[in-house]
Amino acid sequence: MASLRQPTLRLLASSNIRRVSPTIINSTRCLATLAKEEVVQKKAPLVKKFSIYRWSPDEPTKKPQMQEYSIDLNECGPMVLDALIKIKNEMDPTLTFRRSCREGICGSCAMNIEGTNTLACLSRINRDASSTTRIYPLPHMYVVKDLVPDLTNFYKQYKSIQPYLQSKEPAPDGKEFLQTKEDRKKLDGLYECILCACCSTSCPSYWWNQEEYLGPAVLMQAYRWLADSRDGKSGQRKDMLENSMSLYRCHTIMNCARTCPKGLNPGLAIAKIKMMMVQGA
Amino acid sequence: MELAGLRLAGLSLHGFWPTRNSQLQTVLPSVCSSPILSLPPQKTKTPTTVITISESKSADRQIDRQDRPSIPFRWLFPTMASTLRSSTARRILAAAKPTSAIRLLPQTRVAAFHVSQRHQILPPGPQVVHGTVNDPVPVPTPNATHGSYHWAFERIIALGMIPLTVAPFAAGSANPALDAALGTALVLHSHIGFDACVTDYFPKRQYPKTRTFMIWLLRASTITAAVGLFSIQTNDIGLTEGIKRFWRA
Repeated sequence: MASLRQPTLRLLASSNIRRVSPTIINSTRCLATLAKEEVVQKKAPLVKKFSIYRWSPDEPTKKPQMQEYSIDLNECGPMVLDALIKIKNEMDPTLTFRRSCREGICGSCAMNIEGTNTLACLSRINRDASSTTRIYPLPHMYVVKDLVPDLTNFYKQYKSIQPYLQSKEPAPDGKEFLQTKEDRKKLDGLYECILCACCSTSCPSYWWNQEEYLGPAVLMQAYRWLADSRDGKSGQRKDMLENSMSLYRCHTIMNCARTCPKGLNPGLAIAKIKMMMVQGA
Repeated sequence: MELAGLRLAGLSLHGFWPTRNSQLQTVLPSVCSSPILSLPPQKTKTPTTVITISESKSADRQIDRQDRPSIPFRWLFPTMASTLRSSTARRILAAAKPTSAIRLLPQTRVAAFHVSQRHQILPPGPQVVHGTVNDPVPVPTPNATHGSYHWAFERIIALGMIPLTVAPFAAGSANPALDAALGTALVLHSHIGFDACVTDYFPKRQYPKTRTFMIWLLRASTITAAVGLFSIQTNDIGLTEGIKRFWRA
């Protein structure tokens, strides 16, 4: 993660620079010697195979299948999302996936890459060309198409925890709710969640009972509002979790913390909710 | 297998196909009795025999010239079950592929042979969205007995079992009261644990009957275990002492 924050690397990761570079080389061709040009241009191709889950709603009776694409990694950006975009642009425009920010802040490109739920834009391509990178949609979700899962239930669950500040009285100064630095610190590690659903879909409990169990991502946000010193409805928030399914299907499996592409710990947040529920129910 | 299949085919042919010439009737058993099926196709030059394993054009032409029977495959195998029919027929066809014998059965329709079935334990149902996509999921009525109290109780028992397990080792001897406490905690702990399994794997929304059955099965098992432990405690040497003897046996 830290390496991504370096601007040079981020530039390398973006796909624009590659589209620009050939034109730069062309315009300076007269200046460069032939030998130099060869050094710049020729790099042995490093062909890597990507095996990608395909299913189309246009042919609903056709079984889902894995489709293989070969990409020269030297012609491609370093991240899996770059490879996917390259496949979609140059090889197969029918390949479908969500993507937006390409820098791990929107959570659109969450998918299962080499067995781990993660963001395609934050996971580097394994440059070992002998192995095939396998890409699936988020596990145990209804698939809309190819790598696009249906997150309707996930968002409905998020809505059910009322993810907004609720106060009993108006702000003391009539303008805003102030918070001490210590209280603000309690929200660190919670507010960074981008709701990519990587953690929820890696949780076996969520696989079995996602209609009723809220899942790690939503529960962490529930805790984010429970932990907020400005919120005045923590009693009602706790009551919403007082049943066997919404919260207590968490068995501390901790796949959530392992897979979180943002390095957060939903398992810890859920444990803290459980403590809060016992102490102040 | 192939031979058995063909022999069966030959037997069922006898007397069932009176209109067709005698060639087939005589020939099919001969195929069965000869080890041809395990050998590569032999080139015989006997144009009169129709079902010899033959690739000679003359035999083909002869069949073509004759009135070709258009018999559905199921007429040939009227008594066989569908699975047997499709699988044996496929094997027969595969074994005798380059022969003209196959062409005598012109309208053979073999159903696709399913190598593997789709086995799914607890398959997911169709997607159900309650209300519109913008409605939040319904929040269940709060019930602390199934929520925080249950959780706290479970934790207390789990934590309490640690000293109860260590105590006999520390004391060096088994105390009947501690033994009873350990037995009770053990039963309660396993009941809560298995109950969580039932809740996880037999959701009420999908398998209400199985769920009820499992819950009652679990209750029966818990009571059985409790009664057994009670009898060990009262009539026998006690839990800790029993484990000790078992360990040293």
